Amino acid sequence: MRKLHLMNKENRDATVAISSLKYEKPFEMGIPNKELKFKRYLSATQENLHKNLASLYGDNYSSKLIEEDPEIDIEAIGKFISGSDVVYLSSKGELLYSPPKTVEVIIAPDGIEKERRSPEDIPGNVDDELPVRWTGKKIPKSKVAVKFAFKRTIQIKHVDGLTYDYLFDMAKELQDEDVMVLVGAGQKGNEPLIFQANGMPYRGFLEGRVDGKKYQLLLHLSNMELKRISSEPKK
Amino acid sequence: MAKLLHINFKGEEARFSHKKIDRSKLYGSRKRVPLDPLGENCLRCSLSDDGLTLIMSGMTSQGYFDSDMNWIPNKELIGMDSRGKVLDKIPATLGIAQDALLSDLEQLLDLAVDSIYQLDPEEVHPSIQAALESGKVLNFPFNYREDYHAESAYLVLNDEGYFALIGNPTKPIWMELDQVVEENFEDEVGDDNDDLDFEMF
Repeated sequence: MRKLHLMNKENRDATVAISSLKYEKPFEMGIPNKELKFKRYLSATQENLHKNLASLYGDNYSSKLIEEDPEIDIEAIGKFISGSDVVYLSSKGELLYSPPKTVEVIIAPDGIEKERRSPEDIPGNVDDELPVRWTGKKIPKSKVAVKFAFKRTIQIKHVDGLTYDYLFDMAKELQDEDVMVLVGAGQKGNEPLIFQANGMPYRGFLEGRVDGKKYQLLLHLSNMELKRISSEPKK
Repeated sequence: MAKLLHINFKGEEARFSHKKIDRSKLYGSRKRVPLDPLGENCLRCSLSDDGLTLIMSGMTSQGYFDSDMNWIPNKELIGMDSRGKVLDKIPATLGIAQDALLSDLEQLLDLAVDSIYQLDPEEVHPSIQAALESGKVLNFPFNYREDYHAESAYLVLNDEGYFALIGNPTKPIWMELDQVVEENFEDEVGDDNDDLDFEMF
C-alpha cells in the first residue's frame, strides 16, 4: 500500500492510501490458439555493426552487403538474451571497472545543450514528515481541464472510518464548488510533488466526486501545460 | 503533409493540421551522462548473464517465438482481446470525419493521456468554436494508423489555441465506508522519465 500524508484546509493531517489509475491494454498481438513468447535475441555482433562494416569495406560496402552478407554472423546471431547487466565502456572502448562519474546535462527546448552540472539527489516528498497541503488556489474544473495535460492520476483512499469522513468531506466540498484545488509539498505547500527519489516533479490538482455516501478523491498530476511550442505562433 | 484531423459535430465540421508536442519541446529536458576518467562520454552497454557477450546498441532485436522456438514474423500476428477473441482492424481516422460528442469534464480528467497534439485550424465551424469557447470539450475516436484499437481523443480550446489529448480511459472506483484498502507491495510509480521543467515549476 502506497501512502500519502495529506493536510486539509483546516490544517488537519492524515496518512491515507493511494493507487495509480491505469487502463487495461485492450488487445494483445498473437496467433489464435498458439502460445507465443516474446524474446530478445542477438541480431548482430560488434564486428558486423554498420559502423564497423562501413569503415572496413569503404566504397565496396554496398556490393559486399549484397554478395557476401557480411552483416550476418551465422554462429552468433539468434542467441536469446535472458538477462544482462549494465556495463560502461570508456571513450576508447575499454571496460570500466568502477562506476563512472555522472554529470547532469540540461537541454533547452530547441535541443541545444544549455548547461552541465553535478547531479543532485532529490528525495520523494509525499509520504514525508511534512504533509502535502491544500494551497489556497481553487480553480474551476472547466479551466484546469483545458489548461493542463494530466499524464497520471492517483486515487486517494481511506484506511479507516476516520479517514473515510476526512476524504469524503474533501471530495464533497470540491464537487459542490465545482473546483479543483492545487496541492503542494514542503513547509509552505508550494513545492511540486515527487513520488519517489529523483522522480518527476508534478503539480497536483485534487478533484472530488460524491455519489450518496460514496466518493472519489482524485489527485491529477501534471508536468505540462497545454501551450504552443514557443517558436510557433497561434494561427 | 500529414492528413488533417477532421471531426463532425452535429453536422458541422472542423479540420485541423496537427503537430505532436511533449514536455521536452516546451520546457527542455535533462539527462544524466556517465563520464570516463578523462571526462569524455562513456558508452553504456550490456553484458549477457553468461558473461560471454558484450551487447552494444544495435546488436539486439526482439520478436515472438512459438513453443518450438520458431520466429513468428510480425505480419503473421493479429490482435486478440483478453479472452483470445480475434479483433477486427480499425482504420486510421486521420483525414476522415469522425463523429464528435460533447463530453463531461470528468471523462477528460479520467483519460490516461498518451500523446498531445497542438492543432492549427484549417476550417472550424462557428458552432464548434462557440462550444469550445464556452469551456466544453469534444470527444471522438482517434487512430493514427490502422490497428486493433482506436484511442479516445478530446478536443479542447484555451488561450493558447486548440489541442487534442489522446489516450485511454481509466476507471476510478467509488469508495465506500466499509471498503478495505488491500495491501499491495507492487511499485506503482513506473513511467517517470527524467525531465527538468524550466518554466512550469
